[in-house]
Amino acid sequence: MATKQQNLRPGIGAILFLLKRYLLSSSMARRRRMQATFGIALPVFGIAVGVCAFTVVLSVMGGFVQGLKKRLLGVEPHIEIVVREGFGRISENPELLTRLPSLSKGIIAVTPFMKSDVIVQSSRKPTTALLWGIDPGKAEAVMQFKTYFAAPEDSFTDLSEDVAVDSQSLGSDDNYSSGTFPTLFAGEKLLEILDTEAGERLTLISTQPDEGLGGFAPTQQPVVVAGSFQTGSLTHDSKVLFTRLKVVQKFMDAQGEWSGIQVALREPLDAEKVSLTLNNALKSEGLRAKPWTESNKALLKALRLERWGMSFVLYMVILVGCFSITITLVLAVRRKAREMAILRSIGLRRIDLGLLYLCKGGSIGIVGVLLGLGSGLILLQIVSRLPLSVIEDAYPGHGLPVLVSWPDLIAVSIGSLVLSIIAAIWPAVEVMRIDPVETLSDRAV
Amino acid sequence: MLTTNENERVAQEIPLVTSTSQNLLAVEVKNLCKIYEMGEITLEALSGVSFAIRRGECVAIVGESGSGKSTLLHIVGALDSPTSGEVRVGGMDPFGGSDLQVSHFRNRHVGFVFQHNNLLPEFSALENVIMPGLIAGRDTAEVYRRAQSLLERVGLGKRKDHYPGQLSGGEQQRVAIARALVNEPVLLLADEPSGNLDSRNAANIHSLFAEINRDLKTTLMVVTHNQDFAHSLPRRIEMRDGRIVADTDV
Repeated sequence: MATKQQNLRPGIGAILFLLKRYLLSSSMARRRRMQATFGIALPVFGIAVGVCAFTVVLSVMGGFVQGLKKRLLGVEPHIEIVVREGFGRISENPELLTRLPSLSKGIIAVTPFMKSDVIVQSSRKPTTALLWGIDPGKAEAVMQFKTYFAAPEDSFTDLSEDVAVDSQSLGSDDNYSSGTFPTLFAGEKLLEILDTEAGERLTLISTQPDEGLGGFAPTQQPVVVAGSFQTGSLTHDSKVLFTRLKVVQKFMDAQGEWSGIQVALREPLDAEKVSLTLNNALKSEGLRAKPWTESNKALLKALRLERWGMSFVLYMVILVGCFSITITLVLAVRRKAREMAILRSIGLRRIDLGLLYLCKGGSIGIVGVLLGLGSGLILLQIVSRLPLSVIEDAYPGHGLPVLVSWPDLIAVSIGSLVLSIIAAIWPAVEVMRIDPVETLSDRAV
Repeated sequence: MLTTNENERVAQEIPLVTSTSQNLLAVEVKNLCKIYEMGEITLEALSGVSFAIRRGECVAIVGESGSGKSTLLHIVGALDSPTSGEVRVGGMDPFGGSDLQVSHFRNRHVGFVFQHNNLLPEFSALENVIMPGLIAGRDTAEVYRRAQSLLERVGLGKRKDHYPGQLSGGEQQRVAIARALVNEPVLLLADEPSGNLDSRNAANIHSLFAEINRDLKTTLMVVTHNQDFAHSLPRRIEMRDGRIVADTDV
């Protein structure tokens, strides 16, 4: 022990010596040792439970939000360039497509798109859908959609050409004629609603009737289902039909027009920053950049609010753990008043006794945080691997989604440690108030 | 807790009396008063107490309960402060500075032995004895060596690793005496050190005090009710109602 202590700074060695013994005493009578161990274990457990809950809940929420964003961003463009005012269309502008990547280093791909609400009808059922026209050659780079196709060999480039369909091959209940038709990819849920499948034919019906010879009549366009996709986002899987841009332009009678331009970014979370740059550049052209965060503002706000609320509740759990530090240490001050008075009589300063108790609080905090982090990370490993029946629909064959955010965990750990030290302030003040004469007098025995 | 540099600074700040005659004095008390005010009640524990103790002297403070003996001891040891009057120990005024300086004084210049539960129960006998040395920030190996040697001197060399709960009352008091001596104080203060012991253990403690005084030349100031012990010491100060009523130097 002598050699160990020798290297320490004079004085601090005494506080560490006292601290170690008061926290890890093995020399007391069995009953007293049990009391002391329980007294220390209780606040350590309180902090550990709070930090563990924080680690698990924040990481699972993080995983869930990351999955949600991934699904959103797999389909939704990171930025859309649209007309500044109202819901108009922009004229075809290949020069703008070339110019956009030069406006911000974060842009990795751009492609024009055309969107329209349509009624879609199979041979058995009709429903409404969102017809989304894309440039098959460029869409893959903008949307990173590859993993969502039901058949791994499917690709947006399959939409490039029309397919020839023989009505005989479509079954006896199909009344359509043979011919060459555009293809589309439909969400799996939408195909379920339409009670149809890949390879069958659908009819797109415009929601804005055109004036024809016999009066107003909706435009109709027969199409063939090339394949299906499942993004995990019900909004997209039950509503979206992807087809070639030219098909939508023709269907909408809007040749030479785009709904806008989809922009893919290297870092989707920079969408707002890049949008600002693009807005400055495109303002004079009557265009504006709309980041994905704007399109999903309500959802993101709700997620943020949920995270704040959850963090508040979890900090309350840690705070309750810290209360037990205060209670344990105040009781320790009362129980050890005579020992503290003896330490004062042999030269320990008031401030040293206070420091000793702050260190005690801090030590309890450190042990609690380490135990909480350790048990939280172990628990995360388990819940991320163990398939749970309650989430079977959302995550088939998987455990809960998990994203460990170390900056968050470090902030929680430091916060818990600071709270532990704050919790020790009252006991520290109490121990500094001990009057050695009063405590050591016969009356106090 | 003081670092080595702080120790030197604090030592310089405590007023030193340079007169040769005063340097021969271990304790000098002049017109000491201590008044406790408890609401409307005023209690005069010490009233104009004056005396001096030479270095190496061994003094018994006797008197009835409530006569002010323990209060006097606490003030001389800087555990308590006087209402008025002057106290110098080894030429130093312990009340001239902050808590830092008073604590430094208690750590370096006086050693205390109390009547009851003197020791820290979570620490072994050796660890109890080294504690003032650790607080002083002295060289740890040197403190351990000195503590070991003091425990051997008080006859507990082989029980250094025993905890207070494993020692008898007499043994605990001997550990407390060793602890009081580890920083080589000018003055050893004992408040009824044998008050809780049986006669055999009490006699052992009395002999130990006599040995320490003889061999280490440490000045002793012992409050005691034990008349045999008091009469065995070369000087007795008798107190009554906060005043010195007799000062017998044999």
